[in-house]
This record gives sequence, structure tokens and C-alpha cells, in this order.
Amino acid sequence: MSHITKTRPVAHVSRGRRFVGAVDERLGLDALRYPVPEHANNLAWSLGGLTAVSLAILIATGVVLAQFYDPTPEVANASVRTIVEDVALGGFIRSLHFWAAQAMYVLAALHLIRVFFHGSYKRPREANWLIGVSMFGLTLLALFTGTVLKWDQEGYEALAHNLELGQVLGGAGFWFSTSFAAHTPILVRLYSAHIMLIPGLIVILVTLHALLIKRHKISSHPGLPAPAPDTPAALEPGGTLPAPRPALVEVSTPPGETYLEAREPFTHHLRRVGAFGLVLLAVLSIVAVLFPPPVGPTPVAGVEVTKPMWPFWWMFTLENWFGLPAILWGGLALFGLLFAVPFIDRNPKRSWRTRPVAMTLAALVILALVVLTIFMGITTPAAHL
Amino acid sequence: MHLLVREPSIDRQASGRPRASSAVARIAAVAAVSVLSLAFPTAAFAHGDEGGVPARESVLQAIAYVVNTPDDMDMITDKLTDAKESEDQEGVDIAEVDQAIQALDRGDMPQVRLLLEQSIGARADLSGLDVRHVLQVAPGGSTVSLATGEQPGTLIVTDELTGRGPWSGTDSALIGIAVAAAAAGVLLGWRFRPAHSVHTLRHQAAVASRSADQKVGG
Ligand code: HEM
Repeated sequence: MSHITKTRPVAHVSRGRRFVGAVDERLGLDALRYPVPEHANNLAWSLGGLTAVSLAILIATGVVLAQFYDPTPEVANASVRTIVEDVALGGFIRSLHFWAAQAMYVLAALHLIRVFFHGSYKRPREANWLIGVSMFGLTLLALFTGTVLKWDQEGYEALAHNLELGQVLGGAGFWFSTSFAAHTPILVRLYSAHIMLIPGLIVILVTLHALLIKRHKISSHPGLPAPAPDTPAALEPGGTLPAPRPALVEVSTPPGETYLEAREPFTHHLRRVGAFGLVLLAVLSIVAVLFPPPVGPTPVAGVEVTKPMWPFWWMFTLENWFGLPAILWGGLALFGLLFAVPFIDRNPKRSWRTRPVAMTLAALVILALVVLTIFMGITTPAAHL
Repeated sequence: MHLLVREPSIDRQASGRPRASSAVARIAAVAAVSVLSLAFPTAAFAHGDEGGVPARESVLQAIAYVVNTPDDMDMITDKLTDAKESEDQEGVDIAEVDQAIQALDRGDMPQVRLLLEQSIGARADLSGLDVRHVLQVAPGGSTVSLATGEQPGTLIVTDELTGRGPWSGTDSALIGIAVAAAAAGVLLGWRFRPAHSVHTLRHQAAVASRSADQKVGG
């Protein structure tokens, strides 16, 4: 026994490695080293990871804010002012939360566009597209509930719109009616959604998203089509770890296309996302210091003098044109369309060059959203309620 | 104290006055003239049955306009007229509203705001910024019910607390740390960069497929 132990290569391994090995033996972290395509380490393919980094920043800063924030209507606005003025680093933490929220929205949108562009949502990854769109929707809800929390005129007007939309929905909008829980301020209910329900759901979906990525691996690059049926695979999925220089492997996709691909362990993807994430955190911190958000005046019911946060502007242009319910129909239309993408688009081709219809439609939708957003940017708020 | 008072609700707002008709809103929007989009609702609001809206509600709304859009004299005047014509003037000192209207004519906005806050019995905050004294209501000091539903819960309308204050040492330290972190991130990102660009991979794949054609096995 002792004889065998002496000759074990482990004896030459550094302490750090031994520690990692010990942890791995217990937690199975090695499962993260599954092979993924080397191109996954590029920025465009790391946008999903960066969205997750934003979520982590939001949860960390959100937990700090929640220690000092008070969701009672009488004092909610005052408590945010207290966070900014009296809590050590409170203004910075709040500002970081504010900017990270927008970063998460933008990064999720860019990630979604990247996935669409590369046709990465196609078979067998349809379910993961649906999970992703759900998380994108939840991010919008988190943005919305977050802006209400500061309980200033802007947040209050956003809430007023929402209550009206709840009425448009009739019985289905019950959660957004004040009669649902008549003795509880709706602010308290939105607060519970903001810090528990929505982030909780997002975290559950992120977990599923990651498990499905492991199941289906990261999609091949549609720009690397080099069918070469005779090239031997240096790496079998689940086999030994790749050599430092990634080897080319042959990959077949369900539609029957074959690609050559260089492979890396997923941990290399994580470590690159970590490096990008550090830059993201740093840039957001600089923006947070330079441009902290104001706290608006305490709210008054029945006036409309503010604009919502910019991610909602396109919906409010629709409201200006077609009346309040258009916010609801516009939002439902966009998300209905996003959810329908993998069901409508059954074309197995993934390169953008071979999908003119999909590319044109996507460009039109993005253009419409941008134009509607710009319209709101140049108009003055008007009363609709 | 008087700050914790039942508030008008949005529902009452919505049902108590006619909406700007959606056709009017649409025309205004298609014309995309922002001035119009402001003017139409004003007109629609001014000639409704305003008598049914409690004066306190109108006064609060007037204060909100003073704070948020102080240049919008029409809206402020409309709301104060509504208050004076209201059938329900409970809890409003109309004499002070009259003084506020005079102050408005003089363009003395701080005075307008102060008088209006006083007219509904709110403890006016002269700095316009600090709502924190709301937090200091003595235990049991509130004799009226707290806000429920969508009631805003406050009678005081504060100014906006602006984002950037004077530059501080903490700001410099944070920026310093962030710049260092950004540099470290860029460095690590460079170190962990993929061995091949997509361009190289494409090239390599093409070469490999060509050589695979030549020698079987490889
Ligand atoms: C899921 C992603 C999240 C998003 C997109 C998000 C977004 C936002 C936004 C836009 C605001 C308003 C910021 C402002 O203008 O002041 C806000 C406020 C707030 N959030 Fe979040 N948040 C998220 C997660 C969380 C979590 C996990 C917590 C707590 C555990 C939290 C706690 C708070 C608190 C206490 C406030 C009120 C303070 C304030 O308004 O500054 N948030 N959030």
C-alpha cells in the first residue's frame, strides 16, 4: 500500500492543484471541463456569460440595497435618499445596481441577436431559446419593478400605467390590481417580486440554461463549414482533455451538416468570460461614479410629467399613437414573436447568408424598435391615464 | 402626523374625469407635434366635471407640476382653478390657495409651493430636498391609516435629489480601483484569448479538408 502511494504522481503535484483535486473529487467540478468549440471564447459568443456576470453584480448590489431600503410608501423615497446620502458607499452601490440593470438588458439583447444571427436556436437547441427569451422578459420585469421601488414621480407613473394595463387584461391582470390584496400597499408586493420572485425565477432558468448548454454543447460556428468526413477526431466527446493547442474535430449537426472545429474545455470559456466580466464590472463602476442616477420627487397621483426608463420607450411611443393598451399589445407581440421563432423558422441552415428572409425580418423588427425608441426620446410626456 | 394621510387613488383619478379621446391622441401623435400632445389632454381635462375631484387632490397635482414642470403655467393654473371649484374642499385652506395663485402671478414659485403645501396641512420642507423627517414620526404619532393599494403615502413633494454631487476622495479611490481592475481584465482577456481567430480556423479547416482529400488517415 505505502509502496504504491509513494509512486503516485500526485506526490509531485503542487498544493494548489491537490486542493482543487480534492474539491473536485467531492463536487464533481470536472464536469465543467466538457469540450466546447474554440470560437466560443470570442466576445460575441461570451455575451451570454456577460449577461450572467451582470446578474451576479445585480444580486450582490441588490442584497446591500435591500438592507437599507424600506418599501413602505410613506418612506420609500426617503429611504433611497438615505441610501445615497447617509450609507457608506450607498450612492455608489445604488448607481452600480442602476447601471448593471441596463447592462444586463443590453447584453441579454445582444446575446439574443447573436444567437439569432448564427442560427444557434435551431434543433436541438429550441428549448434553450425559449428559456432565454423567458429570462429576457423577466429582466424587463425586474427593470420595471426596480424603477417603481424608488417611489418617485417616474416610478409611480410607471406603476399607474401598469395598473391600467392590469385592468385591460381583466381577470388575468389580477396580480396587478390593488383589490387583489387591498390592505397591502402594491409597492410592497412589487418589492417582493423584485427581490425574490423575479431574480429567483431567473436563477432557476439560468441553471436550466447552463445544463442544456452542457447537454447540447455550444453550437458550431456556421462560418466554418468544411465538410471533411475523413478527418479523424482527436477528441471524442467525454474523452481525454484536449492538448494545449486545440485539435480539429469533426462535428455533425442534426440537420446533417458536418464541420471541422477546434475544441477547448468549457472552463476556458468560463475563464475568458471572467476576464471580460472584470472589464465589465470596472467599466460599470466608472460609469456609476461619474453618472449616479438622481432620486426624483416624491410622487403625486394623477399627473403625467415623466418619461419611463429608455428600455420601455418603444412601448410608450406605441401608447402615444394608439392609446394605453398598445403598450400591452406591443409587448405581447414582441415576446410572442420571439417565442415563436424556433417554431416558425424550421429551416436547418444556420449561416446568415443562406437565410435572407429571417435576416430581413430581424432587421425590420430591430429597426422598428430603434425608431420607436427614438420617437419617444424626442417627445414630451403627455397624459394618458 | 399630517404626512401620513390617506391619498387619492389612481382609480378615482381615472374614473373621475374624461380621458383624452383616443382619436384625438392618435391624430396628435401622427402629427408628431409634441406641443399638441401636451395641449390636447389639457383641454380635455379642464372642461370635465372637475367639481367631483377633491380639492386636496388638485392641490397636490398642482404642486407636482410646480416641482416637475415649473414652466407649465397652464397646468398649474388649471389645477388650482379645479381646487377652487371643487365641491369637496375638505382639508384645504382655500385662502392659502388664493395667496398661492397671487404668488403664481408674480412668478414666485418657491412661495407658490410653500403656500400650497401649507394649504393641505403638510409640513413644508423649505430645502425642497429632505423627506427624511418623514421617517421621524414618533411611535404612535400617526393617527391616520397608512397607505394601502397604490396610494403614494406622502403629502410633501420634494425636489429631485440630483445624481452627481461634488467630487470626493471616495470617488477617486473607486475610479482608481476600477481602472486597475479594467487593466487586469484586459490583460487576462488577452492571455486567455483563443489560440486561433475565426478567420484562422476557417483557413485551417479549408487546408485540413484539402489534405484529408490527399492522404487518407492523417
Ligand atoms: C434580476 C435583476 C435585477 C434588475 C434588472 C434590477 C433592476 C433594478 C432597477 C432598475 C432599480 C432602480 C434603480 C434606481 O433607479 O434607483 C432597482 C432598485 C432596487 N433593487 Fe434591483 N434589480 C435586480 C435584482 C435585484 C436583487 C436580486 C435585489 C435584492 C436582493 C434588488 C434590490 C433592489 C432594491 C432594494 C432597489 C431599490 C433601491 C433603489 O431604487 O436604488 N434588485 N433594481
